[in-house]
Amino acid sequence: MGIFGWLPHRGPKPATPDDAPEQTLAIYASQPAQTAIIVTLIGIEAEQIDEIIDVTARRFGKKHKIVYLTDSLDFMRFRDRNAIFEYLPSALEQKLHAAEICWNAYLARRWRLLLSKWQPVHVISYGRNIDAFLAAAPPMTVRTDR
Amino acid sequence: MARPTCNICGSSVFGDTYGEKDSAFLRRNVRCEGCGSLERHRLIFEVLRLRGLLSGNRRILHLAPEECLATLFRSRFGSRYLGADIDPGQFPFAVTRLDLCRDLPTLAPASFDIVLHNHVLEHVACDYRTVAAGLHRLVKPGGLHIFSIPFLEGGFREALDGQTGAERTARFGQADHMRIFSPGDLAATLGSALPLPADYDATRLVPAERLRAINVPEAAWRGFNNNAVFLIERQEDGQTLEAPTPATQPASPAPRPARPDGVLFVSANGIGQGHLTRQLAVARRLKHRPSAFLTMSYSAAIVRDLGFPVHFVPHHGLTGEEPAAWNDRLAAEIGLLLEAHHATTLVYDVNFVFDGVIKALGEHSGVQAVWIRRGMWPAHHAGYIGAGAHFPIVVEPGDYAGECDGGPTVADRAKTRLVPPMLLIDPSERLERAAARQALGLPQEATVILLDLSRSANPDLARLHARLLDDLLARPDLHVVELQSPLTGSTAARHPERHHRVTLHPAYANSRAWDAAIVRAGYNTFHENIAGGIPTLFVPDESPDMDRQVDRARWAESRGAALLHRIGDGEAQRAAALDRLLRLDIRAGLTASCAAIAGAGDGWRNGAETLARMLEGSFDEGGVE
Amino acid sequence: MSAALDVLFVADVRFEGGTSTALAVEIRTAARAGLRTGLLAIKGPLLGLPFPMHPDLRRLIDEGLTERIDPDMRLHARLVLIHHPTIIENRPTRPLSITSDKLLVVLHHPMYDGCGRRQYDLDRVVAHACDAFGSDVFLAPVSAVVRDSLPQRLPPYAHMLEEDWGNLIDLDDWAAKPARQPAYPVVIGRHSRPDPLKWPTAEEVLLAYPADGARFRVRALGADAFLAEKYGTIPPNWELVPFTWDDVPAFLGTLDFYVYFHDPAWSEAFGRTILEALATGLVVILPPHFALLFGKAAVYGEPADVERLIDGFVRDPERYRSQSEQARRFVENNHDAAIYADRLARIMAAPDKAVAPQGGGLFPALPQRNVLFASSNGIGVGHLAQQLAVAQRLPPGLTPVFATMSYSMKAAVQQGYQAHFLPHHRILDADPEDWNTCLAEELFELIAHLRPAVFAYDATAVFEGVTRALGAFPDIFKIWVRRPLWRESHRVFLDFSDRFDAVIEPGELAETFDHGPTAACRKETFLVPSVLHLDPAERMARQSARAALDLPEGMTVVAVQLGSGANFDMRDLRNALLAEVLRRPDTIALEIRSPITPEAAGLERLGERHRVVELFPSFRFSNAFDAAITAAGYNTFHEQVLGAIPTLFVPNEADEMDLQASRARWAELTGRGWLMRRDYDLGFAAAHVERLLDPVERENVVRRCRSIAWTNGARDIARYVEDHARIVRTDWDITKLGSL
Repeated sequence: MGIFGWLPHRGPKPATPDDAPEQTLAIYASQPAQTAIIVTLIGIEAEQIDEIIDVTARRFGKKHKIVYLTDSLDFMRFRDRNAIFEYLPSALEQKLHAAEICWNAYLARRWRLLLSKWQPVHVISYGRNIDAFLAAAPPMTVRTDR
Repeated sequence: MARPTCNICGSSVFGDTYGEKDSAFLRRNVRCEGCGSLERHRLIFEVLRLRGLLSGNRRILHLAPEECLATLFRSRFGSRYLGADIDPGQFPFAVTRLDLCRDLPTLAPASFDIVLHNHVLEHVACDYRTVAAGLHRLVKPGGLHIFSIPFLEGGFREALDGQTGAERTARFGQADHMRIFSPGDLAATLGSALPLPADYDATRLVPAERLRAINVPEAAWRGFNNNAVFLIERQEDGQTLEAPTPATQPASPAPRPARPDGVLFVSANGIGQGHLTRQLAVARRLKHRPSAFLTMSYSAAIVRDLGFPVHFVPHHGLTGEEPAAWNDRLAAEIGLLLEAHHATTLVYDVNFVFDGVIKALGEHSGVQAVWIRRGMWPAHHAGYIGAGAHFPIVVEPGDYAGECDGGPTVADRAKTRLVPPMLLIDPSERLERAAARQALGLPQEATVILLDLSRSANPDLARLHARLLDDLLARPDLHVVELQSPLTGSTAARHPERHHRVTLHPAYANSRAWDAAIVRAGYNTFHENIAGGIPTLFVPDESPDMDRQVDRARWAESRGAALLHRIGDGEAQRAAALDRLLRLDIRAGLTASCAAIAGAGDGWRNGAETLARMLEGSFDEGGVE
Repeated sequence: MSAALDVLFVADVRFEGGTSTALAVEIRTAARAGLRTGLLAIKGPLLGLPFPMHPDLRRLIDEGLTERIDPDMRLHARLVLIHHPTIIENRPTRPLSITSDKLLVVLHHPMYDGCGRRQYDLDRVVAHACDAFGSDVFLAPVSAVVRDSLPQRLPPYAHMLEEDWGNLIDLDDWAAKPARQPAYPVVIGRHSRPDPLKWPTAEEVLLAYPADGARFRVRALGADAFLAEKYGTIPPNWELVPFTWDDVPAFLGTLDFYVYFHDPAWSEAFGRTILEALATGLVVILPPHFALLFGKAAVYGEPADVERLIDGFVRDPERYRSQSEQARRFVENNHDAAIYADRLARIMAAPDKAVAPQGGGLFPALPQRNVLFASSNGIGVGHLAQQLAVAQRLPPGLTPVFATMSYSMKAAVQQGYQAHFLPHHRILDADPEDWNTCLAEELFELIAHLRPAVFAYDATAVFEGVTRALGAFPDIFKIWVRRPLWRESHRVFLDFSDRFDAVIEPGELAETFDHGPTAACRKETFLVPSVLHLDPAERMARQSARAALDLPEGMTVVAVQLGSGANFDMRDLRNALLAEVLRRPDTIALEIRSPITPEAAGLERLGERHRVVELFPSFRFSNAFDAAITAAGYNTFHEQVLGAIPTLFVPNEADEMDLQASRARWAELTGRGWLMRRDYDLGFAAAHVERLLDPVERENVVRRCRSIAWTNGARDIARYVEDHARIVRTDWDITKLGSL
């Protein structure tokens, strides 16, 4: 994928639920000066993660804490670069485990929690944006007896 | 062999049954110390076990529930087990109240697989047959009615009220028994309400070795007894009231009402008392059976004096009736008495069997017929022997002089049961000499002679009696005792002090009062005097229809046990006999010889006692051979 | 889908001893009678400790004699049997869809104990049973003693069963003891749960169990140190045998007399152990209050009468034999399990045939339930690996889901499990309190959506956020798998023990070296054998493993796995050891990296025969290794020893680690490995390696390692999870649940 594909979309903030989260989580509640940016990396290939981390860290890392939201299992990449990340199970994982949890409800709720937790000043999307990701989450399927 | 073990609880320690010391039901070493079981309980348990009836959801009705069985039934059958009794409070576990006389209708018919009761039917205070049949109806078709009842010989008898505890114990075996069953007539009694077997043999239920192993002794194996277990399967279509016909006893043609078993003693005896006396001897030794008498003897009063009901039927020779009619009347009288006294046994003591008696026996074939037939018959009575066909049981009281019996009875011993001599009173029952003398108003120190020849129909004897009386009274210092009877009438005393007329009955009880006796040699008198060791001068009655008294007297004389004077002997012999009788040393010798005769064998045993036990106990012992 | 049963047994399956054994007898007998039965497990309020399901009951499920029932199943049973009133004294915390023709509550105890204390609230028992199962309740007392203790007026909807639900014993399991005439010294004995209350007071104990060794030998099963606490010194003629499930009949067979006296503070409801003794035909001597229950089957008296009673039997062998026979016969007559089938048939009061199964005869499958495995583990993969070990051993009806802080989460996903990541606050540079707040919220969401039946936590530290989240779900069965060998500094975490329903402690080979904070708590934990992710027997065969790793035969392969080094710098030691290994011409040093080792952290290759591989799990290949040099973390250590790989252990002695040095020390002192400490032994590297490469030395170590008897604790934990995943809880009063 070329560099163009990486260009961040600095569009309007992704739609957030109308109501504010019930409680303020605020991971940095005791450090009010600390601000955060969420960078979503959904559907991104593992090799490209390194570059995106480098790029975004250079861009925003000085002023903000960057939290990467990934569906990749390759955590060491983030670890090696001291990058903070949150994980959401990929579309494939959701499909595999659709009978165990109601993904669309859970992930929607999770997203709101993450927003409340990090209180990001920006949400930057690489790859698939979060709304599409959430919308595509399957409902709970009936378990078939083995 | 290993020690017997209770098959219910496993204990091998046994004790005696509970109850009165001299109770008829006391048995040793049969009561399980572990659970209290008796032979019947262990037998029942064994049968149930062998038949696989101790599991599966059976409905059990258990009356008067014994703990040894109840605990186990409750564990296994739970709510299907019903323990019931008229007095539930006496049990240490929950028992339902059930009055068999009233509450049986509250239980649904054909609703129990097993109905079980031991020694209950003798206690019910109402018609036991209704209860028995009612219980049987509760059993499902194919189910079992299991029970046991107590037995005593002497025929079934019952009394629902009016008896004290002691009386009930005496008659029925236990103070709270309303009745007692009897093996001989079981078919006619309980057997008319339930389909009972004809006989009983426990080894048909459980093998003999196993019976021994579980301490059910052989005494309980055969014959109807307290530990015989009835196991009756309820047939498909309801109960049957017909008792099965036993081989030995034909079924009665008409249904009989319930009968307790009394004994009817029938005797003739116009003048004498011999037959009646023997019957009285038996009657007073019956512990459990009531006795009634039909007699043609004018001595009927003595029967009443001894406490027995008596019915006097005068012989047609006295009434002038047509013999046939009289015999019919006799038969009817006998029948009435059998009914009235609920008698199931008729004891006859006459050489000659009247047609009326035969007819009565024919009409009451369920009645047990016993003929007391003493020996020493005159030869011309041989034709009477055939009457034995009407009597299944012929009892011959032994005669000391039996070895010289040449009469017809000797040849007819095949089904005769020989018993020891029968006496109304045992020699040992007599009053001591001093007491007897006092009772009779006799001086303690004088010589007293009993003279009793006149209480007979024989005029020769009456004349001899009078002469002897004079002779005796002529001797100073002699006291003479005469026995009064209705026949002697009342004559004046011949001497104010030394002539005593005694009406005390029975005279023999006072016979120690006299030093010597001059009597006839009838069966009773003969044996009273020999067994009593009374120095006697026998004057046999030689009337043709009497028994062979002269043979007895001769026999006694030959044994040195008595003196003999026959009517035909002259006066000189009479006087000589008297002289001898009055000699102390002669009398001593006579007494000694009497003792030797009476003490022979096992000593004195009263044949009346033997017969009484036969009528009430079992025949297993057999007669004395 | 609805299912049908003949009998549904509802019970707390964790009771030790007689209660569960009795239930097992009932279930087995019912099954033998052809009845279809099920077992619904209740977590009642009586047992606070993490008892597992009683093995006798477990076996019945394993053997298919009864069905495990899930509370969500729709079910009709002809008879529902609730054993023990206390288990329904609180309402079930979830609704049930179970109907029945008849509902029974078996009352094992009198309503009031010997001291007048009420043992259960009958009104609540009846009301809750009625509400839960929707029918009237029949009370079934086990004996007349219990029956009589009940009030005349029963609560509404309660009825008294006409018969007693007597204790039953399977006589096939209790053979009559060998017939033997007692002679001095006689053997008297008893068996019971290890509870000091089951023993008499100190004043009476020597009367009942005399110390006169010339005439008596005393054998007690279920007796151990607590007796010394109660009585001081134990007489020399007493033999104490620890409690065991098995072979009680054999134990009873060694006795001549069975003597049972207990503390007056104890109220014996029935005394199943006594029934067992009677069944074997022992002459049993008891306090008089037992006479109501056992009648003439036993002999009664005060402790002071014991010697005299025994003497009476010794003198009279026939009486002894008779009493012995009565004892066994009593049990046969009244307590034989064979009568149970009839009892059930009576109670069910329907035609005596098994229920016709609906729809093809197969019992419906248990509903799927999630089990949430949560672990910390920034460093290493140990906790996750342990959990994977358990997850793999769960039955198909239970779905493991992982929520971990470990970077190795991938391992779980690769094994096919749903997984979630929870970043640790250190990585986030966040204040722990803020972080815990978030964690609580995030976990709450996950649990709310997953609705796991069991929450299994594997970590040393228990985070506030975790306990707060768990607090919102009182009904979930919460397990803490907590390995021992803690440092003292970790003691504070013990306080969290009561937030969990069960603490499970995987076995530690070096447990004798454990004097840490957890050692004192072992009595309150469920102990299982050591847990390994992979059974040693499941490893690849040596040849295949060597081929897979391209290791030629004839070379001595030394595996080196000194951990990620993130918190404890092992570089110098590593280099020294590798150098020594490689000095020999025939060695290969196989350095195994874990997936989370920081890259290029000083792990340059030191030669041709130095290979670096990334293997997870490396244990699978370990048959290929001739020797190893590893750290002594729990997983690695136990793999090396149980896998019989001769290993030089170099413990990671960082503060936050458990006491790895103790493990290694144990290994060295028991000949199962060697210990080398970074700070002490650097100068001796050569000597250590020389010994390590010595074939004779290695052979000794292998032999000693193979002598360890071991089964995988992972299996025990998995079964424990399975047994608790479908329970109905009545151990707390849900009516008192206020707002969160």
